[in-house]
Amino acid sequence: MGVYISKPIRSEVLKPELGQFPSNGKAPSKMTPVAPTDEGTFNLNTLLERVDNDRELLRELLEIFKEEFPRYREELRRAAALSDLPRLRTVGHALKGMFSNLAADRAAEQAANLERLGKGSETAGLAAALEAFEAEAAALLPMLDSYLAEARR
Amino acid sequence: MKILIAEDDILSRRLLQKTLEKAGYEVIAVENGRLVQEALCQSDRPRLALLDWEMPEADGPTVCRAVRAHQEKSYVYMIFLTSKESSEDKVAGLESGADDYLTKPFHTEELKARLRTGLRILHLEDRLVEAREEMRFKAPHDALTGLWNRGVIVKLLNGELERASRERKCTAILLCDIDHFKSVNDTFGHPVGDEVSREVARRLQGSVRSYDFVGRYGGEEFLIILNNCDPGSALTRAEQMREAIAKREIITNSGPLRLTMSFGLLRSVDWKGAAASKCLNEADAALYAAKASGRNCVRLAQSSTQAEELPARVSEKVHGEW
Repeated sequence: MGVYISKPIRSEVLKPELGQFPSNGKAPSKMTPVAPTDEGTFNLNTLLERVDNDRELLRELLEIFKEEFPRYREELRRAAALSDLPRLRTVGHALKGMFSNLAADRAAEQAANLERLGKGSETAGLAAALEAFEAEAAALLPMLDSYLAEARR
Repeated sequence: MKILIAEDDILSRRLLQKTLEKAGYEVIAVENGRLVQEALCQSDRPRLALLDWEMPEADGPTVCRAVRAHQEKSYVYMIFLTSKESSEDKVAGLESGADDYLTKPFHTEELKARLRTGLRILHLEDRLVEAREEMRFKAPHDALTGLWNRGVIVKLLNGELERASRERKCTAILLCDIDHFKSVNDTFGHPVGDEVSREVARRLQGSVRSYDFVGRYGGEEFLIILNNCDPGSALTRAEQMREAIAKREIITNSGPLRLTMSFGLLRSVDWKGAAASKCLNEADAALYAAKASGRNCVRLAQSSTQAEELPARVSEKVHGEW
């Protein structure tokens, strides 16, 4: 939980950061990273750049993620429980795309790992891979939640 | 410019759609391979497409191959946007018919630049199509007047004479020439001569039926083919054309000019079985006769037997001195 920051601190840091970008502005190259987050878990700068500093779009993407993710996670758990490798591969692939677009690199890596397992025929490393993914998601989700709360204001 | 994006993940689709809309594209977003294929195989399809590789119902390479197999008039520029990043995948993607290949997550500026490359290619295609269409029109048409050129009008004459003979109908040929055209050029210059030629062409074209043919035969010489023309009315129709030129002045940059034309007329029924070249020679001789008898008149090309049979009836209908 080393990357988990409590809400009041981030709130103070994030609010002015988000507020200072015009929706059509250029890449926030000089923006200081939101302290003390782990960029491997979530890189706000990368995501802001990707949405061209469009705060409304950022909010929308986070909303979509919040709505979609539980379903994917459920499917992932089910596929793992049933050792349904083709399904694991499909869901892993979808999550990889989602996370990499959200600039959540480590979660994307874990999802890619699940996709890779799904392509093979071995179920041996499955439980451990799912656990690693869940751990990364547990670190990421509260962060995204708080950013979403900020963006909604 | 319309662009199709195919992406099954809703978050990626939304991000892509918004990014492209901001870049000025009209975005059509679909979520599976079947919908892509439908959208790209219709006639008013988008000409730019950004395709995911892994999609439900049909994957990216399948879609690419189907689109390439389906020949439409315009080209679709297709780019893969996929997380598959091995060289083997890139080769397979491009081999399936894609034009470019990008890996996820996309870098906005790079994506835009790649799309601009696509637009350049499409623009180039537009110019080529435009040039081809222009050539397609120009090749059989005379550049100055827009009438059929000599090659085409002679070919048409061959076909029409054959058809007339097969169907036992009459085709009338008019070979005509602007009188004293050389002095127009000498007095007013070639640009005015060109104006005259164009206006004469317009008037000739305007005085025939839609299924007749008018061509520019030489400098100031025109060849008119009147298909399925009643032999009894051929002279009247030739007279109408002569009047169409003579009765109104031609307006040019050097002022209005009063001009006339001489006509050699030949009716295929009078020359049964004669080849086009023979008919043209005879029409030319009739035109020469028209010039010799004072110009601004029509002369009929008569075969020797016919001249003995009905010289009087024909000469009555011909304008001017026979």
